[in-house]
Amino acid sequence: VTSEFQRVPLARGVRLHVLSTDQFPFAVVLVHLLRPLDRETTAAAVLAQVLLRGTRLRPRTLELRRSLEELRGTALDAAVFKLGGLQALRFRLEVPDGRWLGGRDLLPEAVSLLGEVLFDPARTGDDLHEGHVRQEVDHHRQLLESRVLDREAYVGERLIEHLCRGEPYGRLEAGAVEDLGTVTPSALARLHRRVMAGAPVEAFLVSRLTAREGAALFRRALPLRARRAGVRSSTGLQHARRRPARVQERLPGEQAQLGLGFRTGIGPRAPGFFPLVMAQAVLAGGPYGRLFKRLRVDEGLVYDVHADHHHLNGVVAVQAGCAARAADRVAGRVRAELRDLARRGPTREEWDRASADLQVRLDGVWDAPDVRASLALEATLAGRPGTIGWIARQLAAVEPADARAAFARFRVDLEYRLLPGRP
Amino acid sequence: VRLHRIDRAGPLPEAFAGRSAAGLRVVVVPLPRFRRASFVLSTGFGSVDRDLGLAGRSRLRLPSGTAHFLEHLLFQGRDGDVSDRFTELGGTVNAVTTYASTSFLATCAGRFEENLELLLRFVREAAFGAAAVRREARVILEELRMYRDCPGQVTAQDALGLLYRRHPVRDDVAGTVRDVRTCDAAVLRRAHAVFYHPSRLLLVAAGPLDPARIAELVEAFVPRSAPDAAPARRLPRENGPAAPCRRTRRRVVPRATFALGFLERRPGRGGATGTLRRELATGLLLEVLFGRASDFYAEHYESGLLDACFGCSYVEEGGAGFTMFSGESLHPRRVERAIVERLRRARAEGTRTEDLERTRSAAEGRFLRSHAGPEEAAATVSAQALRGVGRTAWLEALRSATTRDLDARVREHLVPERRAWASVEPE
Repeated sequence: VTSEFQRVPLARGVRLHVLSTDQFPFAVVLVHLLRPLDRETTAAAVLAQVLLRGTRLRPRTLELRRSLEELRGTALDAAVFKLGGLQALRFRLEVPDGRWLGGRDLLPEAVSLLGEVLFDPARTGDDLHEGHVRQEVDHHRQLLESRVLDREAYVGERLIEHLCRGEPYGRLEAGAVEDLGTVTPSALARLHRRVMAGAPVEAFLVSRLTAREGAALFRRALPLRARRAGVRSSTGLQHARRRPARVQERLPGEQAQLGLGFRTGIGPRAPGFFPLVMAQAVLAGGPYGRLFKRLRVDEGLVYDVHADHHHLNGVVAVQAGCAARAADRVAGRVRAELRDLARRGPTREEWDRASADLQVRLDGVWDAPDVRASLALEATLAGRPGTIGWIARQLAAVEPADARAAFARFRVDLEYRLLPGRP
Repeated sequence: VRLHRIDRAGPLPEAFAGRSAAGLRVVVVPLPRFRRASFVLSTGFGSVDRDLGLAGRSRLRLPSGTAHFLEHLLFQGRDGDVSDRFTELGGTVNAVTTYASTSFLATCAGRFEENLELLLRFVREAAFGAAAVRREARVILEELRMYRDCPGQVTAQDALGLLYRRHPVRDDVAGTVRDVRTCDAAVLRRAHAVFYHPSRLLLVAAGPLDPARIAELVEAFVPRSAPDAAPARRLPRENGPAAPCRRTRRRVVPRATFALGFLERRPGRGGATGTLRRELATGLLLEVLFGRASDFYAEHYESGLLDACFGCSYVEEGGAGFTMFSGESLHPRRVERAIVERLRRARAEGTRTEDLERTRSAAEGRFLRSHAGPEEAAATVSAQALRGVGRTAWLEALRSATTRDLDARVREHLVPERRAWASVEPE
């Protein structure tokens, strides 16, 4: 049993991080394939879904899904997300511990199935399966076109799209509808070959297995050969424009949704990074945050207000939903509170609560294998340590004056509003 | 509290249960390998509790959304915002109101005893200032606005409104705009006195905890109070629509969002065991017919009619019971026809044993996931205890479900002629 991930290089550019534990009644396997956010972002997002549709041995999706059910409901899913200037294709297995259920160890079979999914997909000739590709392109088009049905998520995405327009990070991790025309079975087969042979891999295994046993299992099931290069740090850090931009869109509805995007210019290796983490918590890290207190508890203007810190590129995004007539007041209040925090810093109470909250969240990471893996992955991209103990020490060393300095770096770069009304 | 061991069978961690002198029910699930502890304090006060019989033949009538309003208001404690107190103790707190219960969830990675004390105290020491009530009403109205902008919420509520004409489950858990605006401190105070009496409360604690110590703390923090008779829910019984009914709203949306509901005509029959068996049989049936490994899902995913947004579930609580299908599609009417056709075929053909066994095996594996950590274990055990069942009973019911049970659910519950369809579709 280990308390931190042990890093095992499987080949050049392919690393396995193993956490050996019997804490959980299931094992988790995460395979991240890292590639640039570029014109093929859309195709790569479709590829992740096509791979879940079938393998050479199980060409029908139904066969693959039933195989997973027979492994006591093992879950296999794929997702894409952004990490600085990169797109991560993540495949995740969650395998019930068969021994808890009085049966055999299911992990080897499940990882072997993952190997099939990644490396031996269903095909039409040399191309990826024609029907699967056509259907997934259609599903992807619908997914992208119906983003607006979840307004809060939509506003968060639109804010970053406008804020980072022209930069890799400005691309949606799922890509764009206009790129779908180039996603064909043959194009995806080529992309598949390139990704599987060349994209750096960061894999994680949380199970009873030791690092040596885990590495042996991966080598048997996943033919991950050496890459030309390993993963490189990629933050996509940019500075704010001189004059903030303002974007307004309309959609029939009852609530206005506001998004304010701030560039701080503080990257993950900068001395100001952990002060910025504290600043984000003070601002809107939870019910104790300045904005929640002022906008909801004191004035009843919003139901929810929160801030996301995009760790790798120093962007902080504040979002709130409110009545349309209150939109100016809410936006003004956010700016005023930020000016106050930059001038006077957080109060003692705000500071103590933010510190306590971050500490409890960090303590909770010990019990959450996926979050531990995310921290380790982000640290790899940032080029700095990512263990829980190291992060706790950095946070403990931050002083209120450091956070105040971080607030002084908040520059409004974009204000985005989704207002009720006809488009 | 004298605790006794429960749930000995199966692969699950052991649990202990008892009742304090003040009448509070306690369940402790020790999970020594984890760092965090999770406490869930619940009362059987939900959105359906609008008309109640009290001791002495008196009645209590409440406006819609009272349970949810009270949940919000309790966070504005006597000594200021309760969330702040938890944060200072290294904990977090949240709450949820359902049709039949309100639950407060506290999680912490240390100072367990202080967090537990705060949880047990704050729900019973409420402040009901008029200004606080007005302010919270504004927040809830904003919450309702947010829900009305969400097509999934709108269609689910519309479908319930078609299935039920009088049962309060037809109203949003957060209430109607009019009731939230007019809700006053006196109503909230009265509801609080009835439903937050210690004998109405259930505490579930999971984490690296000593059950005996938790028992001591509950006795110390929850003083005895005068016994109080449990309120009796007065709920209308409904048979649902006699013929298919529908409601479609037109909006500026890229594709349709839909909900298709089926009403359970005799919810609650057979007591907690009856409800458990119906929930499990219906859940297994829905998984066999419409789950990710079903022919139905495969066919209609491949045709582009459905995607990963599609889902269905059965709920039975608060004197109501229903199956609800939901999803998004470019061709919502075709989805409705496909579901109805599948149900008719299921009625004619019956459930195949191999499908049931495969689904049952997967369900057992997924049940392990519900004990992945303290939060999951506390939430699972709490939900089951509120229904009056244990985890062992749940596993036994899962293992004993037969194809005949599933087929009976198709015949008696998923009757196409009594369906309710609601959608939000493009203008």
